[in-house]
Amino acid sequence: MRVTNKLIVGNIISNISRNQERLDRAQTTVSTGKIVNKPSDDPVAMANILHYRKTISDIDQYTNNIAQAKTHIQLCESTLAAINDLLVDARRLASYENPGTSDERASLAEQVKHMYDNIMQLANTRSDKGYIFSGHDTDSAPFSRDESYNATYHGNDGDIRIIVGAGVDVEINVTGEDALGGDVDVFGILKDLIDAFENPDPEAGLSRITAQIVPLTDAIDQIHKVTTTVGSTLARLDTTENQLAAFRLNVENMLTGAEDADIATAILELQAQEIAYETCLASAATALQSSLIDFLR
Amino acid sequence: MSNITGILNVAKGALSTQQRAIDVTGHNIANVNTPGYSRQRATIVTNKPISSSCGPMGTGVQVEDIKRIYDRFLGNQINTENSNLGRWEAQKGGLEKAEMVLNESSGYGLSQAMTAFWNAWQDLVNNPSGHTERLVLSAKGQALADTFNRAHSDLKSIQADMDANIEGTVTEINRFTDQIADLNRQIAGIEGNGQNANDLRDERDLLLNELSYMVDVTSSEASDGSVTVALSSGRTLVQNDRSWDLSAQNNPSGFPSIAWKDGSGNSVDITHTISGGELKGWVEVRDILIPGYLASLDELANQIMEGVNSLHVEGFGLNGSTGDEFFNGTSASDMAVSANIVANVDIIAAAGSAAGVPGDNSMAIAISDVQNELTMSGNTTTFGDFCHSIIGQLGTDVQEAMTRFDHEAAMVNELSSYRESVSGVSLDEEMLNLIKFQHAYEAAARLITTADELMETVITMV
Repeated sequence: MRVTNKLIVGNIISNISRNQERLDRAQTTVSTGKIVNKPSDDPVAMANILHYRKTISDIDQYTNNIAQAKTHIQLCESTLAAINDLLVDARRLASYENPGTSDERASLAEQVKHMYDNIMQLANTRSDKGYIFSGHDTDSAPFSRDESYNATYHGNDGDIRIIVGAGVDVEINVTGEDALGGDVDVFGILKDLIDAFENPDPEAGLSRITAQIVPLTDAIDQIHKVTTTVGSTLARLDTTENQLAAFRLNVENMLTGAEDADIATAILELQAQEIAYETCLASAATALQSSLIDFLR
Repeated sequence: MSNITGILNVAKGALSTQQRAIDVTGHNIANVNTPGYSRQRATIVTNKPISSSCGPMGTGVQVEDIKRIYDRFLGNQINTENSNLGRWEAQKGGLEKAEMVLNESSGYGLSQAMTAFWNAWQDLVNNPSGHTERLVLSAKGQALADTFNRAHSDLKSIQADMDANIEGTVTEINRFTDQIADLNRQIAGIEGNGQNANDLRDERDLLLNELSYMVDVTSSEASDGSVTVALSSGRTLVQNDRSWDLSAQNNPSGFPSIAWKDGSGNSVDITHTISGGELKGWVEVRDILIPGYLASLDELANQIMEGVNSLHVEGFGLNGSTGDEFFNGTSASDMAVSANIVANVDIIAAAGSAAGVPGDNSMAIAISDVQNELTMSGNTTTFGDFCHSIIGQLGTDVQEAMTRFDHEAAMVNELSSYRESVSGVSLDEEMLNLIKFQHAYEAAARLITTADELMETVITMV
């Protein structure tokens, strides 16, 4: 083949620009640490990367949902535990063999009234998201009483759910109805106990008092039952949270595999390209310098 | 006629021939870097011998003509590949811009905005009466709408860029065809006299080469040396010294279409019969590829709005409002969060029933779950996967254009190298020729001296 000066120059230019392009690509890989920098670098990998990124973002959101739900459930649990303690105390009062003098009974009645108000105060616990035992009616206190200790439930039986996975949601709330109303009317039992202590007839009063032991036990059982339900939800959320964390790790690994450059390989590649580029320049310099003119006198 | 005058005549012919050859060599050296230049050679032939008593006797040398050295079939081949090169380079350029619009790798793309929007719904699930969560959701919805709006308008502006390119190139093509027609006239004039119009042909070949990069043309040479240039679809652009103009005219869709004007000034729309060159690449990007991405974006935006709105109107806001849409609009270009919601985030419907307000989050859960439903592509993919597939499709299109461009660039490079190998000027070669002709010139000059001495000898004899 006949080789002309323009041909040599043209080839040198195209070789240099090809080497520059490769050098640039190697440089981009090293500086971004990524092998896929735009969709056309690898369309399939890009689609996977976007999918992994969305999955990670979803997992983070679910984890956040669970963390908030757990705070809510733990608040429910501790409140229920406090109510339980108060009910146990009330049952102990009801178990007194000797109701004592009318003064003593009056003071016991006062104690039960305190417990009643304490339990109502606990049942009206609110978090930053509203009253926790009101069902859907989170902006109004679930319980109130009149002067003669008749309690009214203002909430409803609405369940509050949170999302823990794609299309998966979990109920996280306990309504006042579930815990303190329904089959066992806790405030009604306490009112009966107060009334019994305040009964002017000691004999009749005593039988009314002891009659509350069984209902109070039922009330304590109901609180236990609700606590167990809440506790198992919490356990389920914990399991889900751990699963999500493990899954996130897997997806992150896959994302890294699809997106990130192996930095050692990338640096070696960059060095190889640098050498190739410099060699190309050096050979260009020699090829361009020689001409017949140099040898003519 | 072997006499001293004869020797002088031979010497004279030799001097002028070598001088002419040096002239041609000089022309070659001068044009070593001229684009499109084909090296020239003086065709040196011996003069007709004359008969003498001892048989035919040589009478020296002359330059018969000056030829350019080229491969006449190579030109057409290069032009064909050049049309392909122009097409894929233009297509690649347009698509790379589109790729920048939808590039997600930096992390501020459509996919990101969608995820943020759905996550904001889940935050509302966690706290259905929260004012902050509602404000954030409204903002994320607007951000999503803005991302759609921006992607749409950016793609539209790429189409407008393509228009500007097309209009500019059409003007350029007309200028080129005018020049080719003019060169046809000059070449036919010169070659009618039996001479070679070497440099004009080089110029015309170069114009044809550049023209083929802009639009796919075929050319054929007539016996008088003029070329007829036609579009591949058959419309003539140049014949003899006449040229036909192209024009870019607005059509009802708002994009200029490319028209060919016949002899009586009537325009024929040829936009979609163009099959190569930059024009093809730009038309392809403008009329086929970008409208495809736009349609996908519109579909995605539309389905997201419909999916969210159809549930949202059933739900209840904090103030008991119902029947409100979350989004306004029907496509990527006009998508927006409803003005009512922006004005009062309390009407965002998290509750599934009027009685459930404010703690009920069932509607927020239902809307959050829309993202997991197979709503797109005939109920086979989710919004997220559909969005990823748009980006994947664009990536594939860019990749194809790049591959084709690289391939064509290599082809054109190869053919150009071959052309250069045939027609290019080699300085070493020209230097050798220069020395060769210089020595011949010196020897011819010596011949004159010798003839002169012979003549002098004869004169002194008298």
